Amino acid sequence: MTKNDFYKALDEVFSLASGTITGKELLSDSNLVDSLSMLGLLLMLDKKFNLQMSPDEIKAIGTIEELFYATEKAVAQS
Amino acid sequence: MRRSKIIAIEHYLPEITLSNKTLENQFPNWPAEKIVRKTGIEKRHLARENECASDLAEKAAIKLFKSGICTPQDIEFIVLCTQSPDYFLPTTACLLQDRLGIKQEAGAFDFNLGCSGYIYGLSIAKGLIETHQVNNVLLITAETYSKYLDDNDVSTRTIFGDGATATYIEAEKEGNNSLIGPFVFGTDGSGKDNLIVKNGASKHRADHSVADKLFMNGPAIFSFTIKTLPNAINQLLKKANINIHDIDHFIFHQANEYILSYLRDKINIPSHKFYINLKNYGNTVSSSIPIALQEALSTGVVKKEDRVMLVGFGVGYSWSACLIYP
Repeated sequence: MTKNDFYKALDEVFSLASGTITGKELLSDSNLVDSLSMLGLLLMLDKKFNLQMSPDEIKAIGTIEELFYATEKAVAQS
Repeated sequence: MRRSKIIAIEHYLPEITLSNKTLENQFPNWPAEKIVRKTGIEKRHLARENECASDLAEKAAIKLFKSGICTPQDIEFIVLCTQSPDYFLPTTACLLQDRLGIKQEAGAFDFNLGCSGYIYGLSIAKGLIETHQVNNVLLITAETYSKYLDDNDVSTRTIFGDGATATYIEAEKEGNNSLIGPFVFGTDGSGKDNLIVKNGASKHRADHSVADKLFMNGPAIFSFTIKTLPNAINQLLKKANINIHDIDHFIFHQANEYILSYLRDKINIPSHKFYINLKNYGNTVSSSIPIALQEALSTGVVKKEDRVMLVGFGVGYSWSACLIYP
């Protein structure tokens, strides 16, 4: 999955217009990632990448761009 | 071998309802369309201020008696599951014995479990009956989580609804195959802080420096669920010496549609076998499985001869699963 596709998938998870996510957003921002959005994110990571992460692990990653790279790395290693 | 069987289920929902539109009016960033898309819930029922778990339980039990399946004088034991009892003491089941006119020779107790509670209750009833201690059990679930919710917590107000159920379980004629069971159980108390009402009981008695209202960490509960349930289901299938294709229907605790759809797909359960009905009820905690089971039976989705898997999971953390022939 390209970075753009990843961002578009997150636009959907966070119920944002397509193209809203730039990658600089913080995963710890509760205005962006409320509890249902976090659920959606956990689901997406599990379904699309077979990755199981906890909400705390995700928030500790930092930005959405950093999450993309972490996901890429985890998939490459699996 | 003596067996036990679910004979009938009734439920009662309080009259007041909370719609998604009402939530949208209070939380404009939470539109009704988004609520139903994300949770599958359109409305939930809420107990009145002076309406308690015993009131809901009483009405569910009266519906059962009015159906003609049994009378109050028949009941030999009341097992009541609630996390919102009328009082810390006495036991809510004792109040029900008196109000329903059940004989004084009947046993009665409450147990405190949430979303896994109905299945634990079935196991208790099975144990009482199949060890010849009683011939029948009235299993009640009654929950008024709405009394614990923060008016400003949009997540919990969206998810939870109140309701009660009454299930009549009776000894069945001898036979080789169980009609209730086998069971698997599970507990992980390290998850206690992810769904909790901290204040009011012995740990923090009326200490308002501690949160009064229900706190729920939904994503953490989801993580626990996806880690735990597939394995629990496999354990149950192994215990029963069957495979997943031998199950006719699955009724999970109706937490929210996100989690349910995910679990269905993760465990590869065909949609037509997987029952979801939380649209008009929300998450009614220990009442969710029996409400769904009763509805599935009354609409013919589940037949009496079907093999059904029930799966409960949530607060505690606690989980359980069992097979039944309803």
